[in-house]
Amino acid sequence: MNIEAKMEARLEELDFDFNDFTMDRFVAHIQQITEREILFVGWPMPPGLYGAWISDAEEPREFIFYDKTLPPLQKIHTQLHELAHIINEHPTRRLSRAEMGDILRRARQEPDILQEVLLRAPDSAQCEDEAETLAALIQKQVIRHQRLQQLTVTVSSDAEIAGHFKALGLI
Amino acid sequence: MAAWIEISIAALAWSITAYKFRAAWQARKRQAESVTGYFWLFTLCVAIGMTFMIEGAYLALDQVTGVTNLAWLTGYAAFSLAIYLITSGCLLVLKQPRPRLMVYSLWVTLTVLALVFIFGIVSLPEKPDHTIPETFVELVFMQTVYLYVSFLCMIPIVTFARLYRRERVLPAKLRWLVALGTTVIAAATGLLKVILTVLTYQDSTTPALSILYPMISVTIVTASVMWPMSFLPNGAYLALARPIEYLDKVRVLRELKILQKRLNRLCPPVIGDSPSLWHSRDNLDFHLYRTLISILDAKKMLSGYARMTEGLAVPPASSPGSFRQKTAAWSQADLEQARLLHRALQTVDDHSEYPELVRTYWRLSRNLPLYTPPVQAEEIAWPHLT
Repeated sequence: MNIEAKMEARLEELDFDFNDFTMDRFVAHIQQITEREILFVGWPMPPGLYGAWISDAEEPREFIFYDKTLPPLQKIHTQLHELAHIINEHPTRRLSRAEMGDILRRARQEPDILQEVLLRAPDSAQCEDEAETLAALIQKQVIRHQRLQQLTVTVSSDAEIAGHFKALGLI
Repeated sequence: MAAWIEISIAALAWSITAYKFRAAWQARKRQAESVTGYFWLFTLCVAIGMTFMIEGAYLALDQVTGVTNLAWLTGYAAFSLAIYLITSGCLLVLKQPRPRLMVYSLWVTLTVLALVFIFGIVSLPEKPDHTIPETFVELVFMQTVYLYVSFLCMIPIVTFARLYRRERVLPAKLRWLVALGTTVIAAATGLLKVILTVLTYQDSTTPALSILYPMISVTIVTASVMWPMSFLPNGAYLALARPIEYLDKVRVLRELKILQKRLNRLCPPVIGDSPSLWHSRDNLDFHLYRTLISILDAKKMLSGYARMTEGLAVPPASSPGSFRQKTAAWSQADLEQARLLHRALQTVDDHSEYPELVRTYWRLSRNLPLYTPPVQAEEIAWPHLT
């Protein structure tokens, strides 16, 4: 089974209704499935790093770090990419509260520390491919549903014109 | 013009009037003055005017009323009112007050038509064909209505052009384009009629007749077919927009892929797989999104390097790439390319809405000059991350 088909199946298993997608609803759904709290943390990151996922070794909690300078679209994509790692149960760095606190203190001064931590995290190109594919498939669902909604409700970019069209019985 | 064409365009006009009657009736119950009301009255007046272009209907009205050429006056008054009503509707859409001059011009037109009719046209023999004015009163009668229609058409033309420009939804944009085309053709018809009546009044055998008459017939038929199209349901415009949008997306994706390729040479993407345009054809929205994300990723990477190297004055200290994927070392030409791309990418505000972002990067890619590397570009050696 290729990665896309595998991720399509994984997405199907999530049984999420994309008709009314919001990031909060999607995260709540994943939290419910995994029975773990998911926290998003904006952080300064080096050029080649967009996001990172670190698991809490003591509490049922996942930390998703994302570059706080990212524009909205890329931020959502990065968050979905890291969520996709969680959904796929990929291996990641597990840190105790003390270790996490220590790293975050150091990372505040020197963002590259985060990169070093992640470079030591178990990883493979396949995990990245899977996460990126699943993130893109989620967005594909969102775009498709938005598009369907657009096709049925979008009449004009001007609400008043849309009102005139409606009054004229054109909709 | 052939009788069957005249009957067809009149029938089309009456069907639109009947089809939109319910909407107009409901709008009238809500408020006395509404865009719907004006547009429906416009369709009614056009239908009346078109009907009396048919010789049979023309002669029948005159016979029933016993007034010679009454159908001529009715038709001209209907067309004058039609253009006045559509203009009023346009001004209401734009929330602009109706200029007093516009109201006066309608009264002047109708008064001139009535006076010329009473003191001249009514005493002429029946004349259902209005191509050539044989008397001065006919010339005045015809010029009055043609000049009025041509000049008043300018307001709907400006309105529809403005609505077309500011509309962002393609189906609505297409509707405004049809409306704009119709009014431009209607104005052109009026002006051609002005020229033809003057020329044929001076010389009824003028060679201009053989050129202008077919032209006018074409413009009348075109406008008569186009204006009902402005009242088609939204679904029809959605269907019309779909292939245009598809081709537009292909064009945009093609251009974005060029930019993505240029960037990926310098900054490798998170995943290397980037399907060709052909393989993307079935899912253009998805691939447009993926390509845009890849561009944004590379932009962030280039910005980071630029911060560390004072605007890419020198190459970055570590091998370029994400922390999991690295490219080969940059050559001098790559560095120049990186500077060029970085400068261009910085001009885009990434906080815009998604469709606007896609458009902006498409424009950027189109206008981005190709960097031609020097013939003997020196390779710069970089330490690879181990």
